[in-house]
Amino acid sequence: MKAPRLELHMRVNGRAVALEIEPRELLIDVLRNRLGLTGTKKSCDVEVCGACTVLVDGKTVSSCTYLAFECEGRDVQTIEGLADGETLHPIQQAFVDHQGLQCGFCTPGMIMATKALLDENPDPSVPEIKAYMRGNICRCTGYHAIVTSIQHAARETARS
Amino acid sequence: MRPFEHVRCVSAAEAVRAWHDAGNEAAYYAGGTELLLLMKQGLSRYERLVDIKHIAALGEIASTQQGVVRIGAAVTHRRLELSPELQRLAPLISRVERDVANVRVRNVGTIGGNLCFAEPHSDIGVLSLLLEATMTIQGLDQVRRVPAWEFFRGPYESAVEQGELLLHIEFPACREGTRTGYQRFRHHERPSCIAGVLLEPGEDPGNCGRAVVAIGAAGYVPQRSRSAEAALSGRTWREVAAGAAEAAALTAAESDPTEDLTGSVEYKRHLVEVLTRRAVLEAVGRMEEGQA
Amino acid sequence: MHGIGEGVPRKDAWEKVTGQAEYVSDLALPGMLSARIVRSPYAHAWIRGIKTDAARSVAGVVAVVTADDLVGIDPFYGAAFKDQPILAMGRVRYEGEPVVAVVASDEWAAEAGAQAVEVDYEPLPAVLSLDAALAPGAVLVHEEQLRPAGHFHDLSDLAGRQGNIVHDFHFRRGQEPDAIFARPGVTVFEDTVTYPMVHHAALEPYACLADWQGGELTVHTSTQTPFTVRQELAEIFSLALSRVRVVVPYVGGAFGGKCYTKIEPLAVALSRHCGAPVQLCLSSAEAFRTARKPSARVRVRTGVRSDGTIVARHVEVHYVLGAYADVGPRVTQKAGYVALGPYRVPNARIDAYGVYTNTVPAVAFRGYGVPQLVLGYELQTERMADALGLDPQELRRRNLLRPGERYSPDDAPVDANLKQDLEQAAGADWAAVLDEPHTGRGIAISLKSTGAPFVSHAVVRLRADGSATLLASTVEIGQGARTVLPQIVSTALDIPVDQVRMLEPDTAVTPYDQATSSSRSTTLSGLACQRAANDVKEQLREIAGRAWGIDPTQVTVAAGGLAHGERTMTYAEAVRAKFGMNGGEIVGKGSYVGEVGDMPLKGITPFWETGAASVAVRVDPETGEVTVLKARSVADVGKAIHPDLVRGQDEGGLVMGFGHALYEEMAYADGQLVNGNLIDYRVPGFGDVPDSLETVIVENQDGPGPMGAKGVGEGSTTVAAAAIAAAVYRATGVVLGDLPLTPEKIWRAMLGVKARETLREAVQEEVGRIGS
Ligand SMILES: Cc1cc2nc3c(=O)[nH]c(=O)nc-3n(C[C@H](O)[C@H](O)[C@H](O)COP(=O)(O)OP(=O)(O)OC[C@H]3O[C@@H](n4cnc5c(N)ncnc54)[C@H](O)[C@@H]3O)c2cc1C
Repeated sequence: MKAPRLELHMRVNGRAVALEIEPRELLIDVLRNRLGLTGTKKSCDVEVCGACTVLVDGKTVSSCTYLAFECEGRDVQTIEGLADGETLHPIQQAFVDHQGLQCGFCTPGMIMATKALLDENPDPSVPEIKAYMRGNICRCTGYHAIVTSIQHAARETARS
Repeated sequence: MRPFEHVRCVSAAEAVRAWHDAGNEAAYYAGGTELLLLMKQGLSRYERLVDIKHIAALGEIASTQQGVVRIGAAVTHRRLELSPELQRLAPLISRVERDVANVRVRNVGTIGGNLCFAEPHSDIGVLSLLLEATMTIQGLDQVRRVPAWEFFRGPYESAVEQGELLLHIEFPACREGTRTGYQRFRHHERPSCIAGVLLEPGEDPGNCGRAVVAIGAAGYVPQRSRSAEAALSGRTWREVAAGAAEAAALTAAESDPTEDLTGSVEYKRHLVEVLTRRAVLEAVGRMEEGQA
Repeated sequence: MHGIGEGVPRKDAWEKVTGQAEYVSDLALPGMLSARIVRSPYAHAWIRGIKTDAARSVAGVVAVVTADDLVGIDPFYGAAFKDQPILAMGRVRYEGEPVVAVVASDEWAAEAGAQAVEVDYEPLPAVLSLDAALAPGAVLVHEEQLRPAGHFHDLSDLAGRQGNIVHDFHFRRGQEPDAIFARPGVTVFEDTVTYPMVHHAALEPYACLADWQGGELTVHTSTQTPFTVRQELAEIFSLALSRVRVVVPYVGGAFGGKCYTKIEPLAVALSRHCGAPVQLCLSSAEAFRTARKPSARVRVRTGVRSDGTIVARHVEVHYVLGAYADVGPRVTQKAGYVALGPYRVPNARIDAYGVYTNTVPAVAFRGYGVPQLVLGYELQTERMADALGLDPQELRRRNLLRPGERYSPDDAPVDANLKQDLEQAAGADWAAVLDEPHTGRGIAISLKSTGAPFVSHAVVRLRADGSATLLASTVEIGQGARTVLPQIVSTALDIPVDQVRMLEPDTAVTPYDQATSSSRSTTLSGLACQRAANDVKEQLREIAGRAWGIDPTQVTVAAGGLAHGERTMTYAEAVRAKFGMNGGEIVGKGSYVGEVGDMPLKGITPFWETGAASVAVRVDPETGEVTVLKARSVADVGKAIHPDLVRGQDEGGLVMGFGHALYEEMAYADGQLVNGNLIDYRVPGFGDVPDSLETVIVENQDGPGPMGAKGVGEGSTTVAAAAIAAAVYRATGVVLGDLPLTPEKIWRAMLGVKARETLREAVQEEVGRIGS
């Protein structure tokens, strides 16, 4: 069938974006290929690893399995929008300071998931962290350092 | 993914018509957490996605004076998990939802999508049997109500026929003092076995007036165990606790597990027994602790 | 300033937490095309015909490429043997093997084209298990004459093949173990364990961007071995090495799975065919069908005296290598060589085999064949100790090699204190946890020979302002190489670490390095970097010596400058003094070249990597589910240049091993991989890691690397599964060495024990009754 097209207006990291897209376009492809926001990573492609996690109106979604048109009129946050110029967001800083990353491929998704977690629950316990982050996989760190990073991020976010 | 057209509907009637207009080439589209996986792999192809998320009624959580909780088919798992109303009226649903999938799937996936997809390892399937839900389904020219025990027909097959739209799920009020136990065993992404138990006090609050035992994930469809229910009903709470093992054995005998990557028939039958016993004891334990 | 022993922020951290770090799939070139692969649905089949017309007519499709299109090149590759075709030629040997590639203007068109390709297969009987492959008259996975690739010294005398055995390795010492076993006073223990097929599941699946421009080739790829890839591409496409440029941006996890050539030849062939850059990014499901770890069956027979002294050991190991050899033969002999474990074994025999089957090719995997062996010998250690009434730690201590003792007479002495490692591992006080029912603690210890021989070069360019650029080809795969190697250089030059910048590996620019593998980079590439920095220092001394009219040896180097008595000179001043202007630079070179010789691996082990860990588990007595409660691992690294990175490697490796012990297994049914995706294949997640996970760093400065460093990164993986299996044994009484230890397997084994106990009780009752 001939590909229908539609207009998409959304805010990405605070900036208004207008694009003509096909209904079948996935959010991850629009972000990576159309907007050049390659920080969001494609990995498992089946909603379990969380590498493609972005926030839509503050909620985490797997952008690999999420149609871009769903973002019409909504706010999309990606890893690129977190830092304030050269100043890292406290979550990013905590991942740097506490070895919450190695190869870095899961990191953007981990950080975005942490953002959503802390927005919802600013002071999570370790079991709460583990439960919330269940859908994010890291193959390098063994998770310990990520949990520590999240705990410190919570502390820092509470302070600032 | 192949190209398709997206039709956004604001009423159920409009959605059903939009589906039929495409003559079998359409699919209802809610969260897309299952649908898009199939479409991405080329296992399903549709010319049209009929988007039902903007139908107001499908997005509602409502309760009647009689305490029936009605959940629109397009309500997300996450709303069920976090809804204060539901936590009050049907706390088991919120409790179970915390462990469903991961937070991203829960943010997007819907209760209706879960039921209509009828994936054998579903938690919602077990919940709907356990809480004796009724599903309301709209076709081109009729609206039907189907009780949960008639809803599940096979793996990936439910009472929702081609082109029919699931509107909502109703959970009847539980009697004051009802207690539940819910046990799931997860070694893979989706559970290998689930057992849920509901114990309702009888006229004499010292007795279990009625028990519901539902299991899932072990076989193709969720099941109730009538023999276990009979064994637990009408007993004193002490007898219920003492009879947990027996009820569990009855449930295991009645179960119809199927082998898959999460376990063999034999092992799953064993799990049914272990989890059912634990669920009975959990429910009794909650009673002692005064929790729902 | 250099952060030695305390750590500095990772140099890649900022890029990685902001999403700026670039991986191959993030790159784009003008006019770049996308490719999709059509893969075999059969484990073994003849290809009778391929219909490509429909695919070619899909809008956007540029080319549909089959093996017939691979003209004018040598279309085979492989690290040990050139046995793997770029696209299947007439025959497929595993489900998932690439058969056709579709190149198109975008991914959708490529996918639509791939779906339109029709391949006609004639299925053949397949060998899917080790036993099937070894059976007399078994179907042969390969019938052709094998061509050695010639990349490795120790594989230079690769012999041919017997049946499906592609390679074997044997090691003998002292007398035949069987003769010793028969002696009085010797008790013999025999254990057989099996290690499943597992997949690396690096978060970044394989990705390659190839740009063929006439006779010039540039390849951006996610690899641990840019120089081997370059070598193979040069051979396949008949290009001079200088015309093949392999560039490696950040790599999103590797774990051995990105060692040696994988999808690069196909990407290059497609670019050459289409005359445009082609990006080939595999999906995670495709990665499952590209590489895995060698599965194994290990049989360990050990003779011990009643005091626990090991007198003889025979280890027979079969590594199942799948459809193509890749580096499997080298795994077979490198791991086979250390099959005796960290113990003194006077009479020994090792027989190691690599075997072809119709499954996904097995490649390098963190631990390089050793975890499979450790499972065998360490589970046996526990059992032996029980049977002899000894404390397992005492039994281990009695047999552990001492520092300086030799594993093999012609190899380097052991440069680790294994007893200390063991004590550290066993030292945690977990009594509170272990007093609970259904719990148990398991310990394992291992020894691994680091790859030998190895070659690394490095170049340090001291800039006119006194800052430095490091050119070395260690790949940043997450281990922190781009942080640690600059630390080593900054220490040698005594300048702040942020004054040293390391470039990404680029075979056209950065000097040769054999591989980022084998836990070798900090130690061996580190030596090359240190030597390059020292070379710069020597040149600076010369400059100062000349300027001051003194012998260069009298010039001291400290605090980023040169001095002699009262006289001082900054590096910048030295460069200016040399060139007479504000420009120029000092170029220092350094190398590490491993010693080659006629020993089992044809090279001296540069250092020994040890692993020692202790875990506490709880086993649900009804479901068989294992929960890891505590874990403690020992990283014996000589010197922790960056302790946080050491811990990161050690913890990550341990948890990866937990996955192999408990969850992971590539499941096959009728020759098809049925769980080749991350929904059905479970890797460890947040919830699987104990809150108490501890790495003890042992620093005896006994390594050959800079500041006495030794490698880290594999040790904990080698012992993780064995420690878990031992803990499960302690918790349940069940000796189970058939990984993964799924709840169902443990449940069945416990049933067996229970049945035996019931039987024993019944028999005793019966006996009692008869007696009365
Ligand atoms: C990684 C992962 C883990 C999961 N784990 C769990 C788990 O632990 N427990 C559990 O219970 N579930 C689990 N699920 C399933 C999850 O709950 C479902 O994916 C989700 O609820 C489906 O809802 P959806 O709105 O996304 O459905 P969609 O994908 O939109 O639809 C699914 C199917 O139902 C049809 N459909 C949807 N809505 C209607 C309607 N109202 N009327 C008629 N047809 C309709 C669609 O046409 C489609 O065929 C998991 C899923 C994933 C991907």
